[in-house]
Amino acid sequence: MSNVNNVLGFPILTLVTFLPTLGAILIALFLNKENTKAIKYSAFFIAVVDFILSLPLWFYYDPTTWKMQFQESVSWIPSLGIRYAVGIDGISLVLVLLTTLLGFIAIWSSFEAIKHREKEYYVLLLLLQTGMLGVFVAEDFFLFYVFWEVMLVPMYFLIGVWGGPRKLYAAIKFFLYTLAGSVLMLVAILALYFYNHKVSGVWTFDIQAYHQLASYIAAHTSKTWQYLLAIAFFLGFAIKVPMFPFHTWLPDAHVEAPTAGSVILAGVLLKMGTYGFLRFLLPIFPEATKALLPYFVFLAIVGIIYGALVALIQKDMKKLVAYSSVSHLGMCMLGLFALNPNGINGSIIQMINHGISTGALFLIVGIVYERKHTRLIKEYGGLSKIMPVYATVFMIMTLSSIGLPGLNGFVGEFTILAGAFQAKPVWAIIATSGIVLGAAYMLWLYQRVMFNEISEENLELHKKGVLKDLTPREVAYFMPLIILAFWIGLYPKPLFRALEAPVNHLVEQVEPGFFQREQVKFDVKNIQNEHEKEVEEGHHE
Amino acid sequence: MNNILSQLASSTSLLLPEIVLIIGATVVLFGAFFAPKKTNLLAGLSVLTLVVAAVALFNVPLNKFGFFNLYKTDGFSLLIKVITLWVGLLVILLSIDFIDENKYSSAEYFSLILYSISGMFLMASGNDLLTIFVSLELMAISVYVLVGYFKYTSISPEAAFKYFILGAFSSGFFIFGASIMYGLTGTTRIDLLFQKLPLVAPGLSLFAILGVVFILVSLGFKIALFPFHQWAPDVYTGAPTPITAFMSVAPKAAALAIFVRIFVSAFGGIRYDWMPVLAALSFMTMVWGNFAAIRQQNIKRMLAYSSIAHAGYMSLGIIAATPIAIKAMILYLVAYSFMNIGAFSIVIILSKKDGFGENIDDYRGMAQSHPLLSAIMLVFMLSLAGIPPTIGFFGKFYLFGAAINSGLYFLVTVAFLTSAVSLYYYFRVVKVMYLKEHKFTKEFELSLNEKAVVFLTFVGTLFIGIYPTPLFDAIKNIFGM
Repeated sequence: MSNVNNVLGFPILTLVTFLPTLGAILIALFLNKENTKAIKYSAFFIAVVDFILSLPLWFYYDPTTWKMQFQESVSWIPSLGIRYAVGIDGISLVLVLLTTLLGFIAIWSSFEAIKHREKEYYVLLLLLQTGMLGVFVAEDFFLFYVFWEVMLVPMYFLIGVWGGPRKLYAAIKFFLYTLAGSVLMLVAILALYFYNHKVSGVWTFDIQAYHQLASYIAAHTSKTWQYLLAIAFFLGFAIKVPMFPFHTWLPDAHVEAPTAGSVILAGVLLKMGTYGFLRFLLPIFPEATKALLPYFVFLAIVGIIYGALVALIQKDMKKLVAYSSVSHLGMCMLGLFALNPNGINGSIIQMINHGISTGALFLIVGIVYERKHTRLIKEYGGLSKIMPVYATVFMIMTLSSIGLPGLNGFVGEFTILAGAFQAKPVWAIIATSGIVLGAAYMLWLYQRVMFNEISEENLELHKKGVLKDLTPREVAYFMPLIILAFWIGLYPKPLFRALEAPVNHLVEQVEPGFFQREQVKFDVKNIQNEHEKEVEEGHHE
Repeated sequence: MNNILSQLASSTSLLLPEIVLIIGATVVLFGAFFAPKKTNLLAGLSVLTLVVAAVALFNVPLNKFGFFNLYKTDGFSLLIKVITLWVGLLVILLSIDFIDENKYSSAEYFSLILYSISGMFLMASGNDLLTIFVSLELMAISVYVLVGYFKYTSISPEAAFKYFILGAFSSGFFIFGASIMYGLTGTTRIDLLFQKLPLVAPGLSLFAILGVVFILVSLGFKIALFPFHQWAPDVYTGAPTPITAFMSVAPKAAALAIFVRIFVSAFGGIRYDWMPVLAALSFMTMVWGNFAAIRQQNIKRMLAYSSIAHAGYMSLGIIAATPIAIKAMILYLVAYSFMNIGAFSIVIILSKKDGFGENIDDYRGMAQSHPLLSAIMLVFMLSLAGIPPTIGFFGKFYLFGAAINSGLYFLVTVAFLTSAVSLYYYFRVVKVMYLKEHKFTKEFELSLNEKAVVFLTFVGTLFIGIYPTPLFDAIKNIFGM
C-alpha cells in the first residue's frame, strides 16, 4: 500500500503538508472563540513547527539528481489510476521552504492587525498553507488540481471577511478569475489523460509519465491540438501569475486583502502560476511552447514595463507594491521563456526573492496602516525621523526589491537578464528598462514616505504613541526575511546548487541537446585554443 | 394461452419492488382514515416500504426481460432505482416536520411520493415506448398533485396547474412521437427500434425526424432542457420545498433513464442525426441555466435554475453515448442527489415554519450564530459549484472527462466555464452567510430526522468527495463495466 521512499524513513512531505490542516481542525474543535490568545499562539506554534519540520528537506536533499525525492505514493482511486503521490525536486524544495517560512511570518504579523473573528482567521490561514504546500509537492495531476482549487476557498474568505472596503468584490473576482483559468487547465489535463491511455494503455495521472510523453505528443498529434492544450495550460497559469493582460484581479485582491493575505498572495500564490509553467507547460508541450514563445515573451515584457509604469503613478502604497508584483512576475516569466539554464535559474531565484522582498514590503505597508489606518502616500512623509528602525527595514527591502548588488534581488535579476540576453539580446535590453523604472518607483516611494518634512499631525500621533517605531515582535518577524535577503545576495551558491540538476534536466526536456550544443561550442573553442597553442609551440621549436 | 400465463408468472417476480411500493403506498393512503394526524407513523410506514422495496430490488435477477420484453432489469435500471429510492427516503424524512408545521394531512402526501417512485421504477426498466409512456404518466400525475399539495396557499396550486398543463402537452408530444415511430417500424420495442430505424430511415425521412423531435421535446421538458425549461423556476418556487427537492433529483433521474433508453438505445442507430440538435440544446441549457441563476433572489428559484444547468451537464453523458459516459452520468446523479438534497434540507429546516429562509438575504450573518450548519451549507455550495474535495467535483471531473473521451472538447469547455460562472451564484449564499455583518435572529430547531438527512448528505458530499473509490467501484460493479 503505502510506499515511503526517502532517507528520513518517515512520510515527511505528508506531515509538512497536512500538519497545518491538523492544527486547524484541532483549533476549530477545541478552542473557544473567545480565547483569542490561545488561538493565536497555537496557530503560530503549528506554523513554526511546520517550518522546522520542513528544514530537514533542505539538509537531506540530494542536489546531484533531478529525480523526485522524498517520494510517497498511495493508491487513491485505483480504477482511474489516481494516486496520492508526493515528492519534490530542487524547484519544489525552495518553494516549499518559502511557503512554510512565509506561513509562520504571516500568522505572526496578524497578532495585532486582526481584531475580530480571530478563530476563523487562523484556521483559514492554516488551511491555506496546506493547499499551497500540496500544490508544490503533488506528483499526481489529479492531486495537484485538487490542491490548486481547494486553496482558493480559504483565500476567498481571508479577502472577503478581513479585507478592505471593496472586499466583497475583490474576493469573488479573485475566485472567479482563477477558477476560470483552472477549469481550462482541467480540460487540458483530461485530454492528456485520455491521450496517454490511448498511447500507453495505462490510466494514470502521474506527472512524470506525461513528461515522458512529451516527444511523442510533439511527433504524433496535430499542431492545433497541441496549441489548444498548451494555451489552456497557459491561461490557467498566466491568470495565476498574473501575466498581462490577465492581471486585473491582482490589484483588487492585493489591496483589499488583509496584510497577511497580501503577503501570502504575493509570496506564494503567484508562484504557483510560475511553478505551473515550469512543471507542466514547458516539459509537456515543449514544441508548442517554442512555437508560441514570441507571444508569451511579448506578454511578459509588456507586463514588466506596464506594471512598472502603473506602479509609478499610484497614490496608495499597497497598490504600488501590488503593481510592482506584476512587473516582477513579468521578469520571472521572461527568465522562464529564455529556455536556458540561466534564465530558468534566475527566474526561480527571482520567485523566492519576490516572495521575500514583496512579502516584506506588504508587511511594511501593513505596519503604518495598522497605526494610522491609511495607505495614501501623501499622508506620510519624514517617517524616518520618528521611526528609525522601520526606516532601516524599509530601506533594506526597497534595495532588495530594486536589485542592488549584495542583496537578493540583484542575483535573480542579473541571472534572468543573462539568460534573456543569451536567448535574444533585445529581450534583455527592453527588460532592463523595467528595472530602471523599478528603481524609480521604489526609491520615489521611499523618499516620499520617509524623507521630506513630517506633518504636524503625524508628529502629534507619534507623541500619542500611535505612530510608534517597530515593536520587538515586528522586528522579529522581519529578521528571517532580512537575513535571507542578505544571504541570497551574498552567497547564492547553495540555492544554485539545489536548482542545478532539476533546471538542467528541464532545459534538456525543452531543448533536447541544449547542453551538447553548448558543449560543442565549448569544444570548438578549446580545439581552436589548443590549435593555436600547438601552432605557437611549433613556432617556438 | 398457457404460454402467456407462464410468461406472466415468471415476470411477476421481476416486478416485486414495484408491487411492494404500490402496496405500501396504498396502505399509507388508507392511513388517512385510521390515523390522519399520525405523521410519524405514516412516515415510518413509508420508510419501511422503501426499505422492503430496496431489499426486494437487490434480490431481483439482473439482465432479465419480462412481460414479452416490455420490461427489462439491468444494472443501469437498478442504479436509477436506487437513486430514486434514496432520494425518496431523504425527502420523506425532510417532510415530516414540514407537513406538520403547515398542518396538511400527511397520508396522501407520503402515498403519492411512493406511487411516483413506483412510476420511476417502471420508467427505468421500461423496454417499450408504451411501457415508458404509461409509467411516465404514473410518475408525472403523482408529482402534479404533490406540487399543488399546499392547497391553502395561492402559489402552490398555481404551480401545479402550470406544471400540469405543460406536462400534458409534453405527454402529447411523446405519444405522437411514439406513434410515428410505430408507423415507421411497426414496433415500439426499444431493441427492435434500434435495429429497424436505420433501415427504414436512410438519410432520415421527414417522419423519422418528426418522431425524434417530438420525443426530444417531450423528454427535454421532463428534464428541463432549454428551451423547454420555462416551467421549472415557477414550479420549483411554488411547490412545497421538500417536493421541490424531490423533483429536482428523482423524476429527473427517471427521465434521464428513459432519455438514455430511447436516445442511446432505440435511436442509437441514427445517433449522428440527433446528436447535433441535442448538443445545441445542451449548450444553451448550460449557458442559460447558469446565467439566469445569477439574478435570482429566491433561493428555491436559484436552485431551480441551477438544476436546469445541472441537467445540461448531465445531457453530455447522453451526447457522448458511450458506456463510460452513461456510468459517469449516473455517478453525477448520485453526487447531485447528495449535494442538492443537502442544500434543500437546510432551506427546508429554516423555512418550515414561516417561509423565512426562502430568500438568499435571509441567510445574512448565519455563520456567526450557526457556525456548524453554515459550514455544512458551504460544503454543499462548494460541491454544487464543483470545487474539490467534494463529490460534486468528482462527479463533474468524471462526467466531463468521459465527454472529452468522446471528443466533445467544445461542450466540455463550455460546461467547465459555465460551472465557473455557477460559483458566483452559489457563493452569493456563502457571501451573505459569512461575509455580511448582520445579526441573525431567526430561531429554529432541528428534529432528529432532519439531523439525519443533513448528516447523511453532508458525509456523502464531503467524504465520498475525498475518497470516492467505494462508490465508484460499486457503480462499476452494478453497471457491469
